[in-house]
Amino acid sequence: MILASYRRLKEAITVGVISASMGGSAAFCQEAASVEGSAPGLVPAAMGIRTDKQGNSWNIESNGTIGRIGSTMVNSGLVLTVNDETFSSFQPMMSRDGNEFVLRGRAIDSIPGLQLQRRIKLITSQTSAKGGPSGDDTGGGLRFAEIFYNSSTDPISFTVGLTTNFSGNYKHFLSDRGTSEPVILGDGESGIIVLPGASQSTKAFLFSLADAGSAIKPTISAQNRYGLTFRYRVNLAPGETGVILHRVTQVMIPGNFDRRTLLRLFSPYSLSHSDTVLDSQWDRFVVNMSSDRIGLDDHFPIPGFDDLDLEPTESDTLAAGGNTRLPGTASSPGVVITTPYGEAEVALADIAAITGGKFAGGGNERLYLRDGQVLSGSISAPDFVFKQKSGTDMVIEIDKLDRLVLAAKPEVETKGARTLLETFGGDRLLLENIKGVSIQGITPWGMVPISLSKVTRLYPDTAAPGYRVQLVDGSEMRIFPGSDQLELEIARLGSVAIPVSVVRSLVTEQRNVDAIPFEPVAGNSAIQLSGYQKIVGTVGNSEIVLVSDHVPIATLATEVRRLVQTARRSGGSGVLSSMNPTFRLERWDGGIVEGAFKNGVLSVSAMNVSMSIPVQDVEVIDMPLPSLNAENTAKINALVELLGNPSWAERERATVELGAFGYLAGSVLRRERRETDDVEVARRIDRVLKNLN
Amino acid sequence: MIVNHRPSESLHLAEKNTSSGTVLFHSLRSLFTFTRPVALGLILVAGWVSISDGQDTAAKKIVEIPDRLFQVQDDAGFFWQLTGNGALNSGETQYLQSGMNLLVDNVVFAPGEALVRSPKEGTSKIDAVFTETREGLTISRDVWLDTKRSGVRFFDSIKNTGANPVDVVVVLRTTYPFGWQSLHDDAGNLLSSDPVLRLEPDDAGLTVHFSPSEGRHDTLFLTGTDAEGVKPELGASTNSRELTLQYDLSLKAGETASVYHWVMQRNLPSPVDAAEVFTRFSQRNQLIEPGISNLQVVSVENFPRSAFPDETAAPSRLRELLALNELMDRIGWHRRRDDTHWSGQTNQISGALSRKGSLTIAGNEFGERTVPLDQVAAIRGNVGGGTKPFLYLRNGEALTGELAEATLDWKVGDKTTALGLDDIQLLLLGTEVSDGTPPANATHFVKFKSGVVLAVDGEGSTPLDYHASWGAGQMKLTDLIEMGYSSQPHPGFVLQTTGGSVFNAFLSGESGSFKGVDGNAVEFPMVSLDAVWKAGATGMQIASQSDQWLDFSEIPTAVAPPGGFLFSGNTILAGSFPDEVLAFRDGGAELSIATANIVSLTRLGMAVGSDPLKFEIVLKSGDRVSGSPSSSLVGVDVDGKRIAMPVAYLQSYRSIPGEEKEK
Repeated sequence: MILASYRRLKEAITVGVISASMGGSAAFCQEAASVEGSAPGLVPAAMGIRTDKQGNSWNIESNGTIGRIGSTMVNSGLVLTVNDETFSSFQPMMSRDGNEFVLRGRAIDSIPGLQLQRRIKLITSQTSAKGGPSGDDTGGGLRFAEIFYNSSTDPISFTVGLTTNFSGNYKHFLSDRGTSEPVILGDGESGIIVLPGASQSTKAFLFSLADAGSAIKPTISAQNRYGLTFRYRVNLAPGETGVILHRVTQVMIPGNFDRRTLLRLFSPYSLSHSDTVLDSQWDRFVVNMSSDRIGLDDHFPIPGFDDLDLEPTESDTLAAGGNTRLPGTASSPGVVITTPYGEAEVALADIAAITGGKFAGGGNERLYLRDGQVLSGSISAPDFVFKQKSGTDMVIEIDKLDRLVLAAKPEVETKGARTLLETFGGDRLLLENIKGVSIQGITPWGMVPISLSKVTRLYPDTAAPGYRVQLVDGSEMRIFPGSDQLELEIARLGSVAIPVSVVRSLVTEQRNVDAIPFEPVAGNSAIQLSGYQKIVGTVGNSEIVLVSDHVPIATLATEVRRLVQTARRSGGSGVLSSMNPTFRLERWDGGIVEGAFKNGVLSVSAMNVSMSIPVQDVEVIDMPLPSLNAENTAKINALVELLGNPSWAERERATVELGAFGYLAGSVLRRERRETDDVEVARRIDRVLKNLN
Repeated sequence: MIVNHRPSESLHLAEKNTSSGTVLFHSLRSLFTFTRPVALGLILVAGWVSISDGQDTAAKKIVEIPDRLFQVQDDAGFFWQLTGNGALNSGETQYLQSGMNLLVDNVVFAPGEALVRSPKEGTSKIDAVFTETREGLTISRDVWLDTKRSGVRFFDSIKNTGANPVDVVVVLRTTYPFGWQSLHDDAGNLLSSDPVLRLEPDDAGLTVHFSPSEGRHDTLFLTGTDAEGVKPELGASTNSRELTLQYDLSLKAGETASVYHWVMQRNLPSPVDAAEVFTRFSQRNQLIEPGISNLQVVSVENFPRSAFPDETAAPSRLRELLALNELMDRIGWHRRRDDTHWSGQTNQISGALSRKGSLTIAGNEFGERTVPLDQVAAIRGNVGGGTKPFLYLRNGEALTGELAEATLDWKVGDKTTALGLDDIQLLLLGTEVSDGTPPANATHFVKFKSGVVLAVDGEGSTPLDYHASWGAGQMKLTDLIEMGYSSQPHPGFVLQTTGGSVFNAFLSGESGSFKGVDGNAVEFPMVSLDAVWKAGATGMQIASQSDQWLDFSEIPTAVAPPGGFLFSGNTILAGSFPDEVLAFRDGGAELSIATANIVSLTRLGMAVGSDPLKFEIVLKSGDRVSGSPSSSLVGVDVDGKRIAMPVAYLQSYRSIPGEEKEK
């Protein structure tokens, strides 16, 4: 039972982390349509040589492979394979400016239901987010997005390979942290530079393969110095999309290879650079990017039941070292533990395991309780006896004990969601009566009171000191604690003041974080912010003013359907309006405005506080559907009725006018579409729905 | 007396006077009128003065010059190898076989001595002056490898030391191991070869373009202006591997003539893009940081005198106008001595703005200010509307808000016109010596999200309340080197303190207050604050750092403190261990180490699968031990405050040199 409880907790932590990188299928479906050729802006591709902003030439072939060109050191670069089957494309498409290729892949025989496409973007001064002759610190090259969608009903697991063959033996390759010829990119490493052999070329090839903090990084295998293959393992649940983002460029060979030089060399080609970032619809599916996907337990390990290296059996087990195992029965009138937070008396029946002073895996005296708690401190257990199966009694002295694992018992169902607090020291404390208890979270935009009953998870931000908190409404923020200690009620220990500095995480069981949709609900907007932060709240600005081509255009907030940042402001600070991020504002009536915010602050109300958020932090806002007033409802209903009018002209007029209502008419039309038996009405409703915005 | 100096004596003299080079220059300048018949010795002295300015190390005099001097990699990644005869090649990359090889009267330049500042000496300026003495001629070549702008400046001088006039043929030969594809002028047009290959009068330079499919880069030569000045005669070999620039110079007895060039390597997507590269070195027929003094300018044949800016046009504190520089860097433009109305990369009009009068501007952060026009460095006007106008002041401040209607007198040629604010795109007023001098009492500059930059007095300002991961704190402005808001990788401020710490923080409180340099309070909503930097700073160091530092060796030199703790997320706490002993565990074994004996502590968990909390500890004795800290928290003493940080974030520790002595 303790194991089940413990592992359930662990799942609550780790599954959430990995699944956050995947998600739904809407974007792929939308894009799948685009690769059929119906997406606006794509034309049949003219493959051939392109030149990036640094003057490097690239010969891109119809399957996305980089072909041999001039004296470059690559013969065929980044050949995509899935389970060793080579990717091949249907009719290659490209953007109208010829800078991005969209290649929809043919089916992979060994993986039914896997849809895939490659998007290859040439980084030119036009496609670069940052322009200007001297302030330009971004690199060129090609950005690849390998997009996979599981359209089957079963989970699939596959290996993605990217193979490059060189024109001769390369000299050497090393990571951006100076690791020589790594077989897997380690912590903090994001890519490799391959140095050409003698007389091969004047330039080296630089591959950016993952975000430095990503948990998902490729293995690297070399073939006799003429070939390199990067392999990623991808798991997709039914309906899930996953994107592998990577980049390649050619660089001058650096004069030396110290860490500073390498970091400076790789920096312009980072996958997190604005040049590389995908459109927001894809960005959230990238699996080898975001830093919050570092394995939490790897970087912030806490002692757990697994460390005992002992499974509970039908009898109690006294263990010492790696091999000594004595079955028997432990008995004690009661165990008292003095923790840093107070003293608790625990019945032996409630204990799953005890570690003592001789335990090598932690060195602390610790109780593992059957309710999932872990308490460390000084244990007092007078008259603690272990009767071996042979009948011999042994007196257990805690300071001389290695570990004792008590017999397994059936798990007792717990009622409702339980919230546990984990400390860096390895304690896991069960919180009680959390209703009404809140902690102060300091965000970049002000202090927010966070009700513990609404927390699904609070955990250390693995990228930088601080915490991330997830709430039941789908909000997720990076916070610093606003107080030095937490006043909490803890099972067996009562009211306790816990220093915030020792808090590792808060986990609420039985709340599936990933099942929580992040979307506008009940009049609230869904606001995505920089640093993978999300807030469900109300936008307080009555109107949004974007300056489009020097002309300010105001849109009432109620008329805004979606606001998306399209180009990030580079660097830290800027004074030119053109350096401010630009946004695309989509209106419910189908109108679109693109430009920079006239005012730099967005007012947002959430969690009962008002926050002022600099617009540069805003990535996407989805506004709630405005409620239809009676007048508009009547108009839409009347127009729907006209769709079945005997007069073609009337039907046509009604179709056009319904289209003008845009998204506002969506819900009524969908309802009518379900209910109507009239083929003509259904066909016209389909037409209007398809053309919404 | 000075005219009779032999070059070697001049060099010797200069070598002795490196520390007072500037003084020497002024005294020399006062003695001379700027006419061509200036002795080469003087030019060399002046050249030496110009290169010895600043805090660079002294050059080394070399009499036996080796075939190859040193290799440099510029900031764009290109290699330059300086050879013993003052020519260049591209070092270990196969590209430039020989660049700007100097031949005088068909005889290869063979210097007998050189003054060299090589990169290994840690100098910020890398240059060399070569000198050859021939019968009747003294020839010198001054080469400056400008790594920041990625270009090399050649200044070649020939002095007629004989008693009779002479005609001299100066050839600069560049050869490649591969044939080029085409030759272009500075605008990207193919060079005319009818009837002979030549530069047209409006060509300021040329580009040697290689086929992009060959993967080789291009060479750019800046040879003059598109107006006055002698153009070189061009010569190209039939196999497209050798290019020569030839000048025919006539020298009277005792006269000196010089040619001046910049050479750049670039990867140009198209030869048309060369124009953008040239703008880093010359704009509107005026050179930017030419690197030679006025004394040397008088002898230059291929550039007019007007192409060289007066010294006062480049005040030493120009880089301290951070807000304006950000704008200048973005548009790639350079302010000059005269006033310019910039209305785009292709349209600029020189003129003179009357400095009489003032402009009145009202903004949220500073109320209403009336600024005399002679204190203004640049004006961004209302063209197109939609954006607010900006006034960039010479003292480093930038003001935006409602600008009161005003009409400015703008003189172009003989004609003065009235310029309304709505007519102005960007008016750049000429540089002046006072540029970059902060107002009296200014310790810091504060930038708001609106773009307003104000000078403030840190001494009298209210400290900023902040929250960091370890809790709340207060930051005095005087303890700050820099603070900037950044949205990436996650929103928040990055602070760099005078103590050497760098960390992320969120500012708390609804509003703040700084003391303005006029003594009045500058009150502001906290959300409007964007950046703070110390007066005198020439750029933001930390706010735009995107790399993740895992070790002290990765921290940029300008930011790295002498010691302290490096945590994840580029967090540096410049402090020491508060406890006398640090407990470590290696397997089951416990180890207590006296913190005073720890020199460094480095995380080992680079490889996947290894223990992420394992560290290597180097002790003063030289011993190395490894293990994991017993506690999950590490204590850090920063300025007497104890901070507990999770060990999981600790990347590295370095003891502060000499700290134990102080203890």
